[in-house]
Amino acid sequence: MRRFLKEPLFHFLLFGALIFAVYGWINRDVRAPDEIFISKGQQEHLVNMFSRTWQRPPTPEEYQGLLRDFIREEIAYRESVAMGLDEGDVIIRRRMRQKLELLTDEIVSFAEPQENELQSFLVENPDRFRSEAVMDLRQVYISVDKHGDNAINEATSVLNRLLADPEVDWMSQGDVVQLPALLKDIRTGELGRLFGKQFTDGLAGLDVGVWSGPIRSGYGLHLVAIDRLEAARDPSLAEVRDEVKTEWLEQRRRQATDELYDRMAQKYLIEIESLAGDATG
Amino acid sequence: MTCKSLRSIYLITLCLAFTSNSLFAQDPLPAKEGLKGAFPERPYSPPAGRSFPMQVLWGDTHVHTAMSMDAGSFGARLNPEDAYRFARGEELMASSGQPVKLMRPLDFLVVADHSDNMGFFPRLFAGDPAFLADPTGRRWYNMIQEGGEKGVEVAVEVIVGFSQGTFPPALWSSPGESAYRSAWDETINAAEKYNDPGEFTAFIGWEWTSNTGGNNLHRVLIYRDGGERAGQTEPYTTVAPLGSDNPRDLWNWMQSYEDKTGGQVLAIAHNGNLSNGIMFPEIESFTGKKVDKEYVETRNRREPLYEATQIKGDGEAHPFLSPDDEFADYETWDQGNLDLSVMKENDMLQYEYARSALKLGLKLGNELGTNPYQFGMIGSTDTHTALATADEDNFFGKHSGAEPNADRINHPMAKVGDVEYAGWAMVASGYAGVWAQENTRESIYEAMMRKETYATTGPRMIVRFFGGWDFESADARTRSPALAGYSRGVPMGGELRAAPDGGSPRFLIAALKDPLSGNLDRVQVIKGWVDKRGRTHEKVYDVAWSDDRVKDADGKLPAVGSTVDVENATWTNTIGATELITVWKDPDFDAKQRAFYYVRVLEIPTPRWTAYDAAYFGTKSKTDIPMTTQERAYTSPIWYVPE
Repeated sequence: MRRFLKEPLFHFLLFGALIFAVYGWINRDVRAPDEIFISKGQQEHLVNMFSRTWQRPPTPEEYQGLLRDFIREEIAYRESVAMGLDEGDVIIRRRMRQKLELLTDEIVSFAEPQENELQSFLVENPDRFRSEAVMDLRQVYISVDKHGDNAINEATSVLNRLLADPEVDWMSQGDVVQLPALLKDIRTGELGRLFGKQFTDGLAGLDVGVWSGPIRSGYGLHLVAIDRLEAARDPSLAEVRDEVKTEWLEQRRRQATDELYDRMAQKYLIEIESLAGDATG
Repeated sequence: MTCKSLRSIYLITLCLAFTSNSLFAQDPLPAKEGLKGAFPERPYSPPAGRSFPMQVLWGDTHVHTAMSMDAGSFGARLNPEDAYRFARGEELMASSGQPVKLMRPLDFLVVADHSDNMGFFPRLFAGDPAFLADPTGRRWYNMIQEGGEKGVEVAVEVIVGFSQGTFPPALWSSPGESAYRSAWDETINAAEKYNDPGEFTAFIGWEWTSNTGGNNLHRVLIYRDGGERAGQTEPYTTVAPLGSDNPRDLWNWMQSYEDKTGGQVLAIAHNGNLSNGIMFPEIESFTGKKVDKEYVETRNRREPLYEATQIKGDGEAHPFLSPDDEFADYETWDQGNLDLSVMKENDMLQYEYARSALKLGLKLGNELGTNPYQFGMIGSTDTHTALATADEDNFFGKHSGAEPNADRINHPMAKVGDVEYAGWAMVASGYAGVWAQENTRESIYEAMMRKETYATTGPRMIVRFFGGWDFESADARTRSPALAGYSRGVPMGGELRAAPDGGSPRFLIAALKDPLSGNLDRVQVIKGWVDKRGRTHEKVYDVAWSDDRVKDADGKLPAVGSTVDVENATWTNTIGATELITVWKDPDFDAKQRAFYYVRVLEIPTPRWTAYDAAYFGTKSKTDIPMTTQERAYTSPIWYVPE
């Protein structure tokens, strides 16, 4: 229970209840149930709505018409609720549910997360916020179309040439293809879009600063030299605060809705009639 | 409780001393022109500093969400924000309740919901009283409550009612009304929120749905601008007095938008295959008169691109029009118009397909001085699921009722009376490739305007196409054919003029396969021209191919073969080529004749989405349906214009 009291969700729900209560109090009906009162504010609203549609204020006749219609609507609403017409209506049920859930959303969106909450959210969900690796990369292409079964041998001999002589004109090695040979400051994601995931997976664990390979892609074989590698890393909160906050709020929103239903469901005895025995029918 | 009282809750809450900043702090800043310089161009390949477009950006210009009235009734529950999130690579829950994610994110997306009655379904869903007072509205509501097939029937009734002019007026919301405005605002806000210059471009857009008599004349409108401009006006619709079903009136609207806001907007004509002969008119269907100077000039300026392939069929060529082209009959949809109220006649076809329209454009260009159909090519999905999927093994269908399930290959996609669209006939197609300098609204928009784009049926092959007078075969042997291409020629979408004496245009063409898709079978150049008697012609040339195949005595290239294992939905890249590059010279050039040239790249056969479905669900198709496909790319043409 102590833990529960510390749980921010509990606070949301508490505030929520408070808001409901205050709202109810402010909107408390001080008039008799059989009285219909049209406030100045409501009349202004009617006039505004009319003006927005027609781009002019209503004439006196139209104004009377607006009032008459408003009164009818109010009577119709009260009488039909009294008759229970709202019960079992799919549209009204769904609308009510929407409003209830919208309210939860609104309440959550007011929450200003504490710094330590964001920090732990970041630590608990590293994958969502991890920055991509960035690298400088050179690649020499070996065409499988051209070399067929001999492609691996070809790749090995080109690799040996590259390793033997650091001064060799690496750009002229291997086969010509439209793919870029030298890639500066490229992120893993971009690299994946260019060469495919098979290629980026193949880069994992390669030593920096030396030619290695061959690794495979959808295009063929590649010898690669990673000249600089800024490894993927977990950013500090300051760097990704906005993203963390957005995600945090989103998670809170979902949790709050679940929690709301869980708690409200406790008030009910829920029984689901068994389907067993219906098979014959 | 109304919206108003919700607002009073805000106020109360503020009084309770919550900090209000948090509410607004989450809203991402709208993209400002001024931000552009803050995102330095990342050189794709050295030498740095060259200003040619060195990267192709992938996107879908035509995605519908629950905001579209038909999408909503087909069961779409995802909204514009979901569409952008999905396109940039996030995993979502599809409307049918199954998780879905793109194998590779897209670089840009246009949410293009129907401008007519935008937000119709969210209103119906929310139980707008005005809707339920109408008997049809009430009936539709009840049918949607029943869900599943009943929902699809509603969608069909909505489309038919709309195209046949029998849509109940009470269920209609128009620009100027608050319900309409809020739908439009939601669309704009979603794009503003997800537009991330340099990383992901979220265009603001909508679809103008001229559909009179069921003949599809739709256009997708794309803004170069952000919400501060796009929001100053509301979309143009097709119903009088506010709107019109005539494209000329749409073009006027575009002009007035630009005059009013200083912004820019372009239109992409929808695949014309369901227009029943009126997408590319010679005689305007609205007046019965021949197109005039004003028409051809305005169309040329306003509609730089054409949607050559999408889920509802491929629109590049038709076998009736191109009997000598063995690949012309690709995913052909030629039963009738959009709502199948009028069946197709052969004489309609020439006004519906990209290739025949390009030819007609040459002829009209000769007669009127401007070519109205000088368009570039893009592919897009026109999905109504909010999910821009065009991969065969990850295809979420035309609408939410046709998302992956065991039955969809045997089930009609839609039914109108006795006629139906078969589920298996949906095409997992297509995407738009755009050669742009950077991933921003401005840069992609400019590339679209200069037509430096191409269509694919889904795969992301890289295709370069340059025209000039002096390309040599050595230009095809470099790592960067684009350098020669840009410095000594014009890229796809461009024009060649001033033929040197006795010269023939030469084309530098380079295609690199999609690393995740099939190898390449062949590269073809399609030429169209108009002779001195005003008659148009076309010819398909095989210009580069794989596996050292030899043309037979008739000049025909043997088929590449197939490695597809239909039962397991697999294939191997043991045939075909990784890359095909060539310089090709037109052997039949006549400097006095207007002509166009575009490139078609074919992949080797791979499993069609129907094969992936059958393998995954273990279902058999009831009839003989296609299980393999040869995916392809169509580049924008290069035109030759005699001086």
